[in-house]
Amino acid sequence: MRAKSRFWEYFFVFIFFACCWMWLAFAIPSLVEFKEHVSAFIFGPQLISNYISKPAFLSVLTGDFLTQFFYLHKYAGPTVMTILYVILWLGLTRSFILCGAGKAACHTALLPVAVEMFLANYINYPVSATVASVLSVWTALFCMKAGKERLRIMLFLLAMVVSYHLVCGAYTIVLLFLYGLFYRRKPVVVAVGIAAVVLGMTISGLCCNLSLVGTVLYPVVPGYKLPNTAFFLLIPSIVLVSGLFSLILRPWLGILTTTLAFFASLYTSYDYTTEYMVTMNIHAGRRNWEKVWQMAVEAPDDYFYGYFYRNLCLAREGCLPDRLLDYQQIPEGGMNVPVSQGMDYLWYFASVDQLMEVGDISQATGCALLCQTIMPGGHSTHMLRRLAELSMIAGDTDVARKYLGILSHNLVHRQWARQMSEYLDKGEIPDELEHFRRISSKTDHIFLQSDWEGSLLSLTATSPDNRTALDYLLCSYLLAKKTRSFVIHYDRYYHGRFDIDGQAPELYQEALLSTATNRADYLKIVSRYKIDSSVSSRYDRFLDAFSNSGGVVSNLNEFKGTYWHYIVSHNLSSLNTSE
Amino acid sequence: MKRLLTFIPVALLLILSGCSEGPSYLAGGVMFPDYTDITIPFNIAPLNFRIGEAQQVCLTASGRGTYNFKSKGELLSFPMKTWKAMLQAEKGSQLDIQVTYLDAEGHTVSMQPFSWKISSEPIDRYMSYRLIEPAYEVWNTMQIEERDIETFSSRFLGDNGNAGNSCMNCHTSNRSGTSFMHLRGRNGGTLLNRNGHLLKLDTKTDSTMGGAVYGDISRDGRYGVFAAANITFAIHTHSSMRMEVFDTASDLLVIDFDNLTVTDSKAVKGKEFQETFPCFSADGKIIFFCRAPFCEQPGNTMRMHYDIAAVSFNPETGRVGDTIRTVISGASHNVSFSHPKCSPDGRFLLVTAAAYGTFPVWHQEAELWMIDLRNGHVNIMTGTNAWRADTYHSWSSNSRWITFASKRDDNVYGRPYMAFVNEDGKTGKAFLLPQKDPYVYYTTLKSFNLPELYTAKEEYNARTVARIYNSTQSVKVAYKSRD
Repeated sequence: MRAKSRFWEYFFVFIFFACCWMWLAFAIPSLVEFKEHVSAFIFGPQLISNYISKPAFLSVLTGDFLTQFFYLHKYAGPTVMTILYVILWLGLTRSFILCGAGKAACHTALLPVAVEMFLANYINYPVSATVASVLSVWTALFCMKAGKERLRIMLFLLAMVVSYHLVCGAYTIVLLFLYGLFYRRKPVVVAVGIAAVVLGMTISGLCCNLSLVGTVLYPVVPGYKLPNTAFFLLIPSIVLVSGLFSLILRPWLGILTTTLAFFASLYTSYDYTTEYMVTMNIHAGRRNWEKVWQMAVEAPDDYFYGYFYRNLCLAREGCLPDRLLDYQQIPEGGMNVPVSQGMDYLWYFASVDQLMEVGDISQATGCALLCQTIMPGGHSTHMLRRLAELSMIAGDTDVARKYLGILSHNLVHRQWARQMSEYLDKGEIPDELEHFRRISSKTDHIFLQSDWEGSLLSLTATSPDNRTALDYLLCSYLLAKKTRSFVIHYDRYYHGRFDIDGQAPELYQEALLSTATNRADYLKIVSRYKIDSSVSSRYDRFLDAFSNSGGVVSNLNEFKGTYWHYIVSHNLSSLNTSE
Repeated sequence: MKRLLTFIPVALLLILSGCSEGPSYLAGGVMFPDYTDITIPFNIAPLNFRIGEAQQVCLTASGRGTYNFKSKGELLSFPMKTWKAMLQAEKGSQLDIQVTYLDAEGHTVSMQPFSWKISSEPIDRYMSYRLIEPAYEVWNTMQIEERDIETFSSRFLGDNGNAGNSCMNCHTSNRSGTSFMHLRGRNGGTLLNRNGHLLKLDTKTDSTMGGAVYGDISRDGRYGVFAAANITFAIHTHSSMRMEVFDTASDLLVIDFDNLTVTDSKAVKGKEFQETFPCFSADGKIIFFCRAPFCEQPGNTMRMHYDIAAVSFNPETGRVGDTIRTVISGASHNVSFSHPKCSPDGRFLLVTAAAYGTFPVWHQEAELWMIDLRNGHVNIMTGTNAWRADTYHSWSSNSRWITFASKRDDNVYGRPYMAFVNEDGKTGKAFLLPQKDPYVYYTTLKSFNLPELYTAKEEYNARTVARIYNSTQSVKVAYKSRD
């Protein structure tokens, strides 16, 4: 009977961890992998000294080391994280039992794991934080298992003084709580423990020039994509709560509490938008454009990130004007992202991709540097790769070698770095990068940052072959309903160059027609731009339908996909709009 | 349980096993930093260097004595005591250096012999610089570090991690106990240090354009001269140029630190001209600065050529003169000048010359020029400058050494270089600030920005700065009309 109940207890635990793994592997795989993209683990002579100079060096070092493998396979991250959860659970269970807990210990010990799962749904919750909880719990367990009482207390106090520098502030509190539970009947001993923790944190925080908040929260950087930094304090709190529960709850109540906590954690923290965005970034980072396209066309209507990448994919295929209005568009935000401080950093990733594709290597480099700068740890393998590529495109081989040198000290990126270095040694760059070099600006002038118009105009003016930039410019004007600017630049850069052998894309023809103010003007446009008769007759029908529509857009549905429909559906008041 | 307990040490071993050096950052046989044929001060820290892919490096230095050094691996690290003794013994002489190394295939290779001239002129013991990501105008973590040039020890004078993540800039010292740095952000201000006594100043007044930006302190520490500027950022379309910073307006102002007043003069304010980067002459009676006629920007940025100008200053009354004198015209040399810094002996003015504009740090062509103030002769310092940006220079208090930030190595990340200046203003080959392991320059993603030399260790640290930053109290300077 007892063995049977034990079996079911452990079966529950097994199911719990299987659910953890499946959640990580199937619900948020990209979020897990992206933790690698926003960090960089670099082997080398400075490795230890770089880490040791900051608090929590052991957990950050171990966490960053493990995170790098997340890049290798989509199941690597979930597996590593689940193993860490299992180790955490084992340590907590044993600790609670040594603190005098009953059978519920093995279930209540799952509560902190449930909270870890909650936090894992945030990109900026680092693996090092999970490692920190593992290290704290096992340090506590190690101290509890020491032979003599005096030795135990000594070890605990020592651990609490040094653990801040080894593990981190919040997890030193985990250690303190476990110590408190263990010595709950000896208040003096507990008070000495609290003093030891305060002492350890103060000394280490002062040495590392951290603020009070920074001291407690390190290695989580306040304000970075973790909506509330105080979430980080959930772990020590829940360790205390689960420890107390383990002393008083019956096993079935432990199972119930844990199950509820698990589902509540996932329900409250899951954010499909972020998962979608990072998945897109990962595919774009690997230049897996087919996947990007697939995801972009399947994007829900309110996912502007999808619009952005969908338009980028169309531009890459050279069919941006042909298919732009086959899909939902918005007047702003679907084509260019004004790079600015305070922007969600996932948009920097997208912006670098777009700026590269249109050939604005200068601004792409600035954006990549900026993105790398605002990473929680100040570095990102994703951006290091992009910076290496951008430097190669720009011919800045020395700095490209610097980035490649750094990446060559990372286990998972070193092969790529070696391949790129070989190109540099031969004085070459890969073909795909050569394309970007060809379309990049050949002359120099200055424009204000985030001025997408200035950037695209310069690229269009100086690189006649850069059709992507030209289409981006013209389509951006059209989406923003700047038809006058569209016509000026169409005349200057498109007309007579790209429409010489045939007609311009229907979108451009429709836009040109829409600028006609009277019949004579209309005929002039038809003749000057060789407007296709089907387009002009459709426009005639549209004008009739528009005048009879009574201001109801749905009455114009047969014209969906035309520029005229786009205009009226975004602003019924004026068909012939200008900036 | 025991088996599980072994997990942690095993994981640690696994990690530490990966902590080997890995592939070399340097190509086989390349010496980094390039310490060949240079003049060095006798009080410099060991010039540790690496030779790419070397299995062993041996160095023999022959001067008054003979000294042998050997390393395992590519890093030659000189023992501190032996190094110090060697430089002391060889002060004023020349060391002939022979380096041999065992390459990756195990062959012994001898490098071309070179020399180190050991100058008996010391360099100022301390250098401050700002560590910042070269991500244009955005920063994440930023520190102002003080480095002891005689050893490898360093400490933070300011760390934005505990100062609201705000920007910190322009740590400037008069080399005799007075220094300042600007702290930006919510509780920002100009942090004035006078012999260890710190004060946060609010330098904005209704009568001046804005707060103090670039500046200098008079030798007696009483006055500070600053530019107040509206600074804007722009991007170059050509990828190798990267970024441009320009002022849409700028004036000069003088702060009297004794009376906490700020003053200016019609000569150095107004819309007609833009004035920036002021500095005092050695005797404090002249203010040198950069000046250009106002132009709308960014459209005309590439046509902006700043001159080096001078205006008199009365240290007794704190009055700025009325007459502007052009020391050297930028347009006539087809360059734009910035960052004039007067040598402490008063003889030379070291400036940066770039093709145009007022922010040469991203200008590859930017180089240092030495102007002899006695005869106006310009030395374009070909032996010191490199083909990439050399900017943000500072003098040693004996006028025999300069330091500057150079992007010569990779065009993006500034590194602190130093060079010897002889009595005639001729400068030697520049060399990189030595590090315990020079690989730090390869692995860091930060620039060493605004290097500044001074003799006495600053009497505050990052915690003091944080305390002052976080305090809401600051002393507001009062505007004092010149008339």
